[in-house]
Formats: sequence, C-alpha cells, structure tokens
Amino acid sequence: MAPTRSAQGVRRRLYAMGTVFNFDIRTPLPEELVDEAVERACEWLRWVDETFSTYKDASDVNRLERGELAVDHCSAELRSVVDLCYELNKVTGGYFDAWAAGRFDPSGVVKGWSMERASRTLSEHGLVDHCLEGGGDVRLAGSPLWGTGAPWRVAVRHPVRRDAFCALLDAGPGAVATSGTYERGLHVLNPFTGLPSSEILSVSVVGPDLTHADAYATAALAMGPDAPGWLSLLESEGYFSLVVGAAGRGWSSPGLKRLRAAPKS
Amino acid sequence: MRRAVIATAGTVAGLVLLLGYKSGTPDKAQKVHLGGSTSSTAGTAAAPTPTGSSAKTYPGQLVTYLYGDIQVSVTIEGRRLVNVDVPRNDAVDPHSQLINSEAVPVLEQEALSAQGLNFNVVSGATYTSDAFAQSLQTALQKEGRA
Repeated sequence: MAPTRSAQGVRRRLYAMGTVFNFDIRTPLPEELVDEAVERACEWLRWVDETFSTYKDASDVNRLERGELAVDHCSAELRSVVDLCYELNKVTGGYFDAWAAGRFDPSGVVKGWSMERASRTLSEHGLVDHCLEGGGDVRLAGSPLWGTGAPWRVAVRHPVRRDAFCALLDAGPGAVATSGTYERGLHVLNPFTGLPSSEILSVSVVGPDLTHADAYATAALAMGPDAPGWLSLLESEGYFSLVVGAAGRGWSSPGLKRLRAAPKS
Repeated sequence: MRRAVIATAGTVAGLVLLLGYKSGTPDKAQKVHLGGSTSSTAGTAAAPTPTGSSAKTYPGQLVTYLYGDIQVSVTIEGRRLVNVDVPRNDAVDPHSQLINSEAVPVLEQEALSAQGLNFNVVSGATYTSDAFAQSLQTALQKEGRA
C-alpha cells in the first residue's frame, strides 16, 4: 500500500529506534540543501536513539535506571523527557505511565517527541513543506503541493483488515498518531489493573503536536470504554480523535468529521 | 503481506544496526538472515554451552499479536551479535491463520479499500515491529545483555 498522491518531492529514509523514518520533502529547494537539512534531522534522531533506547545497555535512560547517572547530570533533553512523562501522567489521569513496566521507560513518548523536533529542524532549514513518518506516527508541515495550501491527505490503517483503511483525513500541518493493540493484548496494559487492555483496537489522534497526540493515543487505548469521553475533552486543545473498538464499532470525536476527505478526491 | 515483510526487514536492519553500534564494531559485517526456518524450532530453549568460543543461539519469546505469531532468535559469538533470525513470522507466512474479519462486525464507516485510494501517507500502529522488538528483547535477555 504505497502512497499514491505525489508531486515533485525528495524522499529519504532512516532506520533508527527499531523502525523506519520516511522523509517526504515538497519545498523545491536544491537537493544538496534538502539532504543537508535531512541529515541534521537524522543526526538528531540517531542521538535520541543512543540516549533513550532501553535496548542499548549504555543508553542514558538505562544508566539512569541503574543509578549510574544522576538526574542532575543528565542532558537537558533527558531531563525534559522525564518532566514530560510526569506531565503526561497527570494530564491523562495516570493512563500514560512511563513507569508501568516497573522501571522508567519513556519509549511511548520518545519517538513522537523526537519527530516533533526533527520536523522543526527541517522547517528551520527552509524545508517548510514536508511529511515525516516514523512507525505510523506522522508529522506534517506546509503543503504537499507547494504554494497551494492544499492539506496533506492521511489514510488511517484499518486495525484488522490489512488491505484497508478506516479513515481518510485532510490533516493540514500538524500531527497524526495512531496507537493499537495486538489481538491478544500483549502490548498495552491498563496501568491500574495490570491487565491487557482489550476493548479498543486502535486510537488515532490528530492535533498540533505529535508528542501529545502520541501520548493521548497511547493513554486512550488503555482506557477502554472511557476513551471517547476523555478524548472529546481534548477537542478544546485542538486534538481530534478516532477510535475503533474491539466489537468493530467506530467512534469519532465531534470535530473529526470536518477532517474527513472524500475517497476519490 | 509484502508490506509486513518490508516493515520487518526494516526493523531487523534497524535493530541490528543499533546492536552493532553498541558493540563498537559497526564496520564488521553482521550477518542477518531474515525468514526461513533453518534455526531453532519455536519454543525450544537453546542451552548455552559453558565454555568455548562457539556461537550460541538464543531464541526469544514467541509473541502473539495481531497478525499471528512472531519469534526472533539471536546468535552471539563472544560479544558480537552475528545473526538475527526470524524462525517464526506469521505475518509473512502464506499459510498463517488470518484474523477472520467477518467475525468483526462492520464498522459504522465502511472500511475503505486501498484500491485506487489517493493519499500521501499512512498512519497506523506498528504491530509488526513492536512484536518483533519484544521477541528480540527476550532473546537478548536470555543471552544476558538486555
């Protein structure tokens, strides 16, 4: 299922954090300048991987966990991620919990947070029209058709049918994050019951910031039937949501319908 | 199905690169075999030999997820990761039991077929890479480095 809507653009790919990051640049700058900016963004993502990966023994996150690194000796970035995890834990009523696994694990927020900064780096280098996608999280800027103001068109994967989508959205500049559960719920545990959350198959959140969209999608997944009520409140901050329940029923927040696109347009 | 292979291949390359970097010898080629069932059968624990410099294979946990089961195994020689294998990967197995989507009631919004659809990018949960990472981590835990 490859994207079909294309215009002139430069595409690049990075393997990091156990996933693939796809860069789709639409601002018509010379390719060397594009590559320079993309490389800056990639350096940042690689650094984040080294610092935050729980799979790497020597990462700062693991050293912090083992007591080998004191919080006041951490980089400003690590400290801000720790602060972010506290803030998100509060804002989600505890459903986003970086300590749920019995250790500090910010993996749930690091990818989105680092992509948010990577997108800013691209824009600062003049690449104001771009789509950065990493493991299903998307950060959009400007327009896919430079100079037109046309929105980016995002397809949301159907959680069960591999050959289909459950939504098509015209998401302008901003973020789209999708969280999903495995069929037997190994991935997301409800931090209050410790049991796998199984009532929701997927949650997609569209909004201004990927760090928050990502965390909100992850938190909502664990909330089960309480998710729609909580997600509706986020509309006041500009976050719109879509939920697919295990019973196959879809729900979307009131404002999401304005983002829906006609399939053949 | 093809996309799942690509996602897995990307993840294997990404993770191997990560692990290679960690060992400090990224220029020494780390062999990666993707797919096939040439190594340990699912579920059997390879008991590491106490002495000798021979390579040891550690199978990870069999992880059940949206597209079926996945199992990753790692082969370590000394301090180097020399092989990452995926002895079991239902997402690319043509005989795997697909989720019977007819058992799931029709969504309020009809599912949109990918055929002929116009879009720039896809947002979705990364089932395959997360399951892969989980199985890989358990394999590394057995080896003692995770």
